[in-house]
Amino acid sequence: MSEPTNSIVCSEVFKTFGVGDSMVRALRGVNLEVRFGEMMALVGPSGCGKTTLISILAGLLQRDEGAMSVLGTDPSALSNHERTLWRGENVGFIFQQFNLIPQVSILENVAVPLLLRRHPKRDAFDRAAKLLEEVGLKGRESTRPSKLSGGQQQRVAIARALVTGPRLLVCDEPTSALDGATGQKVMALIRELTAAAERVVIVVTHDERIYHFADRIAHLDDGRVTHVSTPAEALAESAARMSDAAQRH
Amino acid sequence: MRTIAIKMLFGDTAKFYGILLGLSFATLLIAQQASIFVGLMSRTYALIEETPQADLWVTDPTMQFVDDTKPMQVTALQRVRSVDGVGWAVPLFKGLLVAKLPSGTRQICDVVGVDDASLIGVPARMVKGDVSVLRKPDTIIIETRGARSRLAQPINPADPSGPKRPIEIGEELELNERRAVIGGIAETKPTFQNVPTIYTTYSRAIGFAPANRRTLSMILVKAADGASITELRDRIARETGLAVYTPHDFAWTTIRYWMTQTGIPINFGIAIVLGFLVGVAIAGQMFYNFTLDNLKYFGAMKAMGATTPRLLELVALQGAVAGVLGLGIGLGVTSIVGLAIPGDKLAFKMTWHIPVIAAAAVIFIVVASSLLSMRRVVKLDPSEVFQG
Amino acid sequence: MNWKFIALPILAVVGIVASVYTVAKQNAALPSPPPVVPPVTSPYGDRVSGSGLVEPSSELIELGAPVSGLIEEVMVKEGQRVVKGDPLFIIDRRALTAQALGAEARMLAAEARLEQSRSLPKPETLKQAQARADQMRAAVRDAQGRLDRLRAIGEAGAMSHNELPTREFDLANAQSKSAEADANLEFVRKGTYPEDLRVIAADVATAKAEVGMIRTELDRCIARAPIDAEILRIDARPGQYAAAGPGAKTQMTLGDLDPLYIRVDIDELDAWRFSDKGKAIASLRGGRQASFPVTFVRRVPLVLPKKTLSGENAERIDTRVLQVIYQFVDPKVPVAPGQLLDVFIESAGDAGAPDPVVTPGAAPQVVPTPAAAGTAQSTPPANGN
Repeated sequence: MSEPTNSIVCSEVFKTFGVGDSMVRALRGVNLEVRFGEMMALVGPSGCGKTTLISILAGLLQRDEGAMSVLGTDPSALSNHERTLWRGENVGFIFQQFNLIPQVSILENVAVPLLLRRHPKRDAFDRAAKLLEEVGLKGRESTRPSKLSGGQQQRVAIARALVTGPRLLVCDEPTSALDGATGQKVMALIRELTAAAERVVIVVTHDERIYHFADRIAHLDDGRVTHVSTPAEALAESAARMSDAAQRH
Repeated sequence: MRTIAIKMLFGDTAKFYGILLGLSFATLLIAQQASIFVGLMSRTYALIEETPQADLWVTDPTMQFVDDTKPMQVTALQRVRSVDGVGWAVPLFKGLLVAKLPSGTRQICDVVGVDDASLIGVPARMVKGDVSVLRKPDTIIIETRGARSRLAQPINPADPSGPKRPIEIGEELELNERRAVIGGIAETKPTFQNVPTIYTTYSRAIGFAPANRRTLSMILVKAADGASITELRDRIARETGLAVYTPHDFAWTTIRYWMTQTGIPINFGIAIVLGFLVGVAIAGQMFYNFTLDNLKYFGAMKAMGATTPRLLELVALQGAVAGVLGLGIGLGVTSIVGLAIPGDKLAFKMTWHIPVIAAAAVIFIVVASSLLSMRRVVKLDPSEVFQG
Repeated sequence: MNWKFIALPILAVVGIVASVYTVAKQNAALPSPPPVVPPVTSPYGDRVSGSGLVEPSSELIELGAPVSGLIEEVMVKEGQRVVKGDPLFIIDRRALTAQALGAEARMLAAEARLEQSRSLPKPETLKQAQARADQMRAAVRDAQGRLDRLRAIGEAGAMSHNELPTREFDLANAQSKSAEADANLEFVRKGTYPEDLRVIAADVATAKAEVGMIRTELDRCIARAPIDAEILRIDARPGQYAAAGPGAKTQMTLGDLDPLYIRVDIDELDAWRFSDKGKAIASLRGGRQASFPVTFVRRVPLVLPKKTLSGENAERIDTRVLQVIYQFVDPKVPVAPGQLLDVFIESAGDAGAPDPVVTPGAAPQVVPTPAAAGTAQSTPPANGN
């Protein structure tokens, strides 16, 4: 666990929702290791447990059983309050629907994570402006999110996710609301902004076009990590599955 | 962050105005109806307020409210004066009499007869003439409302139903076939019965009144210097067997009578409850919807490290801002309506309790609806924010 | 920043300020007007209060006309002091004066007749009757002589037979005339009979009585002061008709104002607390505030129905009162009979305090006088004292 090269280590992680007949066994013994500076993509069919897994990794949910370490901490062992503070300190989030507050400017949106933690206002806005510049939105700080395109909005979301300087970035389907080209640009930006700082990025996606941005791809099915492959292997597997399906028809 | 929370509230124009309108309207309804209710109730004891000199009011024990005059034996005055601790005690006559106006029409009037020597009980705010006119024979003092409305005289005497002018000093009324000359006009608080009030001396008033065996309606008592008013009240009651009230108790006895013996409180109670329900229905509902709409942003904030108290603080801030604005606007409209409509048209009296009650109602609406919606925020499953 | 951030809070603040103003304006206490005249206050702690009517120490004497008739003359003025028996006014006496003249004449006539009767027989009449009797006696002697002489002749036969009876008849005639004259003489000599005199004397007495009666009537026409007093009011005016009898109008009101008394009405329910040992003070009701010390004189033994002094035509009985009479200490007190004052009497609770006027000592709570019997029913038990 204390191996410095691994930022995330999961060992036989179980998670069950509900009890009795309505019981859903979302994770059934996940084993996963992610290294520092690595971008790991989580792929798999719907309901395979991707969202549950990143929720547990990001400290939004608690595992039931198993051992894990995220950035040297087991977030599931913390209290609710501690976990919330840990999240704010260590994790950045990028959502499928961006979740930008429509009534305020993008600068304010970016500053929200800092302001929520009662960061000094001035510095929060300075850092937000700097990040907006980094994502290429300099000069548009006072714009409302609704005035921007989808790609630009996701850039704002990236800036917001990174404004606290997290070491773990969790992206949930970051490109599914965007067209192909924009998705590529967004992923490129994420890659660019995370590469330098030894950040760990976990991307949940269905989008095969962005597989190549990832260093490794973890395949989930039925609550388990079936195998971990390179992007090229993953694409080949997927192509093979496609042809299988075509033949059956 | 607080600015952002307020901008979130203000930015959602449709819902924000809905919330504001709902809260303002609820405040307006509650404050307005409560003020009219208090106004009406305060009119029932206007006589008490007009006579601030009296420390105590002595009446027949069966008297239920100020206008319910049950005359006492005339010697009751001397018996009250005999009680230790009484500084002075003066008689007061009060009764409804029919006045014949110069135009020949008849009008029922409330006649108040005050102590001949001290004239205690005559209203303080004289508009025309002076209190001492009551020393002249057959003189009475009327009040401005009566002068303008019920006692007003036709401009053209040949056309009694034509336009009217206020009755003036020097004109004569007839009370029970007796001449009564208007010597002064006073400004007084409106009364519940809203009949013109006529002030005159005690001995003149019982001359106007039809022959009754007993004529002493009430006795006004001032405590001697240094005497305890409550002790004096108990002592007078014990030694004379009469009912003795402090002005405050007398007013409340009167109010209690109207509250328990009439449908007035129920009518106003219903209106106030309706106002409250309108507030809950419109504003509460809107605020709840507003919070629900913003649930995903709150969820995102929670994911980004916002603690539950921090989120509650933001929602509470939004509720407080909406509440204060709605309350302020509602109270403003209520006050302007209350100040703009003259007192003889609308019984309106806002006591400090009313803004407080309206504020409490608004706070309840805002707190209840935000608590309800915050339950969703607190229980929010952070993984939900990952869903599209 | 949005305009809403400025406008709405301003609106709300204005609204709240408006409501604060409304609350302040509508709940301000009314100014307390100073009383035109400060009402009467009592100088004593434990006291009995009553309303008192100023009256003369003699009480009011309402003088009526002694007889009905026009008022002839009024001899006094209002405010004048009179002594007992002074004439005050006179009722018209002309008819009585005329009657008096006739009666006096009748009395004189009766007296004259009595005197006349007493003066009989008159000497002249007696002499006349005596002379007649003498004359008749002489006539008898003359007739006797003639008869004797005839008889003497006749024996001589010298007379006619017819002459003798004539002479005898003449004698008898003369004799009866003489008897009549003697009887007349006797009647005249006796004068008036005593019975007749008594009748005449009675007539005289009757006439005298009539005169006396009319004189009394004349005196009754003059109304006189029954006591030494002051004239308080005159309703009699010369020329007015004054009726006498029960319910007749008062012509003149008198009373002894030296000293002045005040009659105090005390409610029967307070009567038990009254003590005649307590100091007392009478206060003017209106105009100016002035109080005068008064001292106890007496109490009216009978508890009376109170008359409400209402100024109404028909005064009404309200309750029963104990009446107590006090005297003003200062003889020159500036009050007048008929004035109504408020009286405060120190009651038993304070009477023990040293006081130069009142004899110190344990004054009984309820003074046991016969008068107390009248109030006994309404007297609550004085327990706890």
